[in-house]
Amino acid sequence: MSGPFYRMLACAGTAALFLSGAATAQERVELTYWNWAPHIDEVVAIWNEANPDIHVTVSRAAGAAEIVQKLSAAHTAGNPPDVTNVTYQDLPALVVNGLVADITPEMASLKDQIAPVAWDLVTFGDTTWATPQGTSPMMFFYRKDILTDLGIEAPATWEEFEAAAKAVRAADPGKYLAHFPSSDPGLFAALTHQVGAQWWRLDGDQWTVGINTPAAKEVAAYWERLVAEDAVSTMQTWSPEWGAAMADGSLLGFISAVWAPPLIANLAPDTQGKWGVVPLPRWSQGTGAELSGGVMGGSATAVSSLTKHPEEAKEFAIWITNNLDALSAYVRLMNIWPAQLSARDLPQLKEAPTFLPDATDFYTMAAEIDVDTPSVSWGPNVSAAFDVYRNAMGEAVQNKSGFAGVLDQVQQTVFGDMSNQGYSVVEAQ
Amino acid sequence: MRRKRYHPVPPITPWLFVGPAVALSLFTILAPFVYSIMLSLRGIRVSGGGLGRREEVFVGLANYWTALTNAELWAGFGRMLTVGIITVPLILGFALLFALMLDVPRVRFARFSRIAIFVPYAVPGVIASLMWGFIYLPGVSPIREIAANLGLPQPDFFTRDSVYWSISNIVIWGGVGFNMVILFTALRGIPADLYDAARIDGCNEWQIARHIKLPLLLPAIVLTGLFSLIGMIQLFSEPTTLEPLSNAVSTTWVPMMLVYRDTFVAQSLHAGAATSILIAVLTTFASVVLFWITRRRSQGGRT
Repeated sequence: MSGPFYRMLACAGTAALFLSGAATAQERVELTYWNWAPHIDEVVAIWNEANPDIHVTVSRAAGAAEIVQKLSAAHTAGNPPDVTNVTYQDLPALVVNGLVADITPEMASLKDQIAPVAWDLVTFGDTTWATPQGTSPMMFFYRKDILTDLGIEAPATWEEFEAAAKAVRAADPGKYLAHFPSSDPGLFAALTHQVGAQWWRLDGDQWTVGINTPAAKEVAAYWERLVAEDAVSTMQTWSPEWGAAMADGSLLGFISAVWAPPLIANLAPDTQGKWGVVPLPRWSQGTGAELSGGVMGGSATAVSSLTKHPEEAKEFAIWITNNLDALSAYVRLMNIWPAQLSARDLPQLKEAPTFLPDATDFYTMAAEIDVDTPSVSWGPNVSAAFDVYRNAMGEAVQNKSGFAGVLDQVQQTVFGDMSNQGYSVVEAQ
Repeated sequence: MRRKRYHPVPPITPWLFVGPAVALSLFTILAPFVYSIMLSLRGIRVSGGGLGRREEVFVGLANYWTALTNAELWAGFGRMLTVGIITVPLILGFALLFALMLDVPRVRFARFSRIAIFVPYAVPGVIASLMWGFIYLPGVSPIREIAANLGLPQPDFFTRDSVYWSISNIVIWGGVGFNMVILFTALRGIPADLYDAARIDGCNEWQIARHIKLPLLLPAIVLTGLFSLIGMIQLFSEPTTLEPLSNAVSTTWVPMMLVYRDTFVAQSLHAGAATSILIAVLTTFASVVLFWITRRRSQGGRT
């Protein structure tokens, strides 16, 4: 009985020896990189070709929404990816959990080359925790063909937006100019950034939570009025209903950011060339009249605190977010607006996006919007804040009232949660 | 190796028989339970300035207190019970109706109907909810389209009240088949001579169903009722799948969603563990009480 068994063991042992021998002979550093973007392999391929001794393997282990929990699990298990993509809003949670490495020294020389809005999203106090990929100039995408038929102009201010939304309803009860999704706290946070709200702010070691500011409540009241008067639809972004409405022309607009065109193209490929784009409407007076929008989405690249190859991992992270070859591929494949300032002169950024062939000024517009975007920072409990928002705003939309109260609820939850966890935190006055 | 004649056999054989079962339940039930209890007594506190670092500390029963005083948990139980009160009687009613109909002798297409009614149970809950989500969602709903074409008012499946029926409908759709099979199997177990005797006495099929099948099925109905009620605490995939589609379902709509939210969204494994233990204790308590009541009932009826 034992004869064949030992022979098998011996075979396995020989194989293992052989394999480990092969690995040491090559001396190649292997890095794993988590990123959920659809075309990321093509960008990484450029690196692998240029760096034969540092090989990067892309893994789609986690999507944007689940990155914190999956990275925590991988970290606890002792095998996190060496490098990972992370949305700006999730970065603080990674830092607090000790998952990502401090890359302050490596980033110091890049500070002048990176857009301040992006820099502030990855730097807390004096420590930089990730290297920013892009920023998210906010825009309003609209069905140029249908609005022209209805004789309605694309709005430049929120007052015009309201009038246009009502004009669309009056012209055709089957259509809406835009929708207000209760399931998208990131959108609403960005809309309040536009009136100067700083949901989280860190000064030294002191946090300030400012979600329910008077100006933010006015934004809430604005949307409450639009919802109550049925001037905007209340369908949820990414629901099948929304996808159908975007494709069949019953939803004529989409408040989003520079990265939206490929997403719309995916949903409604037949509408290529029928969309126009303007900057996010502004408030014509009062708080925030000078601001073009807020921070909506966007991601950065971080290095694991447990990586066995910190030098190589940091080198790759900085390469993929700052190297012109990498960014050129990124822009071509994914419509990003790079945080690396020198990349903003790339030839691709002089052209219109494929999906919006008429918008030749698309990236010039992005650059102008970026200038007036306020710097904000996310805090350690973004996910809790967003969850409360979803539930409370869902209810408020059903009731068609109490939008401003939603901000109070989010404020209380965030403030209470941070105090409980032991942060030094105050509420904004 | 000869021993004294009447020496008792060392009591090892019974242990060998129950061993695998005991080991399995220790590993799969007791160990995770104990681990959850340990987790539930700990919590996260942040130290250091700025973003700080999370550290696990012992917090005693603080998580339990937070869970007990969380109005959302009890509201979730309320919503869960509402769905339970709608679905359990309807599932059992339909299951019983179908089982009795299929058990009538010489019924046509019995095998086909049985499979057709059972098939929805084989559809995973998430898939079923997605499919029904499409049917409910304004804009893509075929029901609303038909109503509009007929000039009827379009039903809204996602108002605060109607959402209970929308979710219950998915649960009933998926649950009837399974319960029907259980009841049908129980019906098949009834000795045929009882029917023969009844027919000789002049009973028609309705009277046989009413006076023979129904009383004999009662224990099975009670059992499936218990299963369905306990199943309600597991209500998760239907509301979770509908949550991103509408304004009517929150991320804490039922207790299980609250646990999921705490554990994976709010990144508080410890709060999630405490709520889970609390739910487990409440469910066990409710099951025991229900079982006790029904057993007393059925025993009382037997005299």
